[in-house]
Amino acid sequence: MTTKKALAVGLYGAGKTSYLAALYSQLKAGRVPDGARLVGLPEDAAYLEEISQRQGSLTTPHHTSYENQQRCELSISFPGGSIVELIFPDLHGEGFLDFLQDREWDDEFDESVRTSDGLLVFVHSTESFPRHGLLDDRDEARAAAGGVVTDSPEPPKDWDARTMIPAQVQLVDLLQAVLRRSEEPDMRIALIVSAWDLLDSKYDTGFDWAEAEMPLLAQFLLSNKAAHDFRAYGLSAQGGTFGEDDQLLEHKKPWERPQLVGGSLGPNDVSSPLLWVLQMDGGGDK
Amino acid sequence: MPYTFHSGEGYESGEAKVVTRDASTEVIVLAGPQDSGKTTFLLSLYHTFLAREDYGVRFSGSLTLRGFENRAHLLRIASHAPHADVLHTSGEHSDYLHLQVTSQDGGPRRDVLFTDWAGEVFERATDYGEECRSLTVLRRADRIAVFINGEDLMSEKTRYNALERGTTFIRRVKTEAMLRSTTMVDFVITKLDLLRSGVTREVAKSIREQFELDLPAQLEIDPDRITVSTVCVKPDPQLQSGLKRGLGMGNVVRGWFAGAPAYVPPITLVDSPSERLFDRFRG
Repeated sequence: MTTKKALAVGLYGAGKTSYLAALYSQLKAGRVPDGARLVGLPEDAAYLEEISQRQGSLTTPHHTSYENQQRCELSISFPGGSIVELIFPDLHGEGFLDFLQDREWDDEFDESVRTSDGLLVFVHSTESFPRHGLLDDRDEARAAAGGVVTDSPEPPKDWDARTMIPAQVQLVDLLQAVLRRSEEPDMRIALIVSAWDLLDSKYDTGFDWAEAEMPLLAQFLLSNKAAHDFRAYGLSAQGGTFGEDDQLLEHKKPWERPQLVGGSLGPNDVSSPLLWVLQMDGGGDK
Repeated sequence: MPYTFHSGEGYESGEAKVVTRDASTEVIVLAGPQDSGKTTFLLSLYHTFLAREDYGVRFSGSLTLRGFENRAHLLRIASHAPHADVLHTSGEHSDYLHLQVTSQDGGPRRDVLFTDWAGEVFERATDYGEECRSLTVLRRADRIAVFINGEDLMSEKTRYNALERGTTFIRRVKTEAMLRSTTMVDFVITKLDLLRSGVTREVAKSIREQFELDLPAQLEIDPDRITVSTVCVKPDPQLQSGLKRGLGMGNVVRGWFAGAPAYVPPITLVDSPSERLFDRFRG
């Protein structure tokens, strides 16, 4: 019996909870290919049940509370005896910022980093902030429009690493630390761009999105591909926007709603990135 | 016990060997008086990676991302600064900033350490041999890029002093026997928009060409080891010069990172610290 572990990381609001809810729902319904099943229920399944039920009833999930829910683990069995452990060490996402701020992480996370075989990295397609907007861009735009380049009405702000470092830089910083610490030399990376439906087909692939919206991250992934192969996916775990697309969604069963771009196991199957990073998807091209 | 990792800020000289232990690392010294544009150039290079400008070079990693970000703060809208500026480097021998890059068409990754010296360091090193000798990294430098403030070249009163100061620095480095025979010397004339606002384009071109012609003889360095570039990293929006931001940077960057690394240490993994050539520059 082999056990493989996947580690899921991402900043606040990146879509980790929505993914977890969708995967949990598909596993319980037996809708994950290759006969994957939950290995029982976790000791404390209350949070999993809550997010799954909310998603099932087209209710927008609460953003994961920092105090109430940080770590979640799922154990998944496959025919033939393989076990996959999917670890969300910090569902909220602020914990990763704490690591980067303090430049240290605890033993529990360290053990997860060292022993994981694959990495899922979540980013939100439209709400990954902060960006790196330059004053020069602003001033040039004003000058070109014939406007006056005036002083900012607010007083200058001191540098605050936590709130001012662009999201793509935070992610690269985190990935570098994780990959350097990992004991898996060939660790694969799945970049999951969440809320894909909000892009309205603006990009064809998750990597197209990354190149345009997070160029530093895209370059990092490409430059390190020889050691750490990666794939980029676009995922709408909910299948649409709750409150706006309900009429379309309510006719679908919960496990039929997710939409995945870039997967090899079917357009609804959210397990595809997980199986790919663990080299359990039977191959297939990017 | 928690796992700790590097601060992500600039490396001090003793820390920098962490980078060189794993790879053949290039060292690029950025030198020049205050306001000559050293930090602005370096941060603009960093921003080309954030914004996917194409200088033929791809970002592969950096162990000093926080160091870049800290310095870039005043260039960003989030700072609420009235206009773009940089955090002026101050103090004694400052940090090293790290980038790892590859060429756009693939190829080996190369680690590069950039110095981030205050203008005062340049001035003291030019004037005093002892100060120059204390900058032991110069012996290890693969490139020394001397920045000359284009604004100082606008007037004949300040032009030749500005050019001379840059060449005198290199002359000092040579005098102290710190310029290796393989070190490249780049003279980077910044603020091209300001320079052209004070002189015609033809005069600006002739200043550069004459400078380029005179340098090898003045410094007694092989002409193939010297380059002269003009750049406009951050045009003044009020000037409306029509010059594109980053003009000339591509040539400098491609020159730095094209081809094989300038220096490949004879031994990549050594046990004895004294055998690591890079350690020679430890203070």
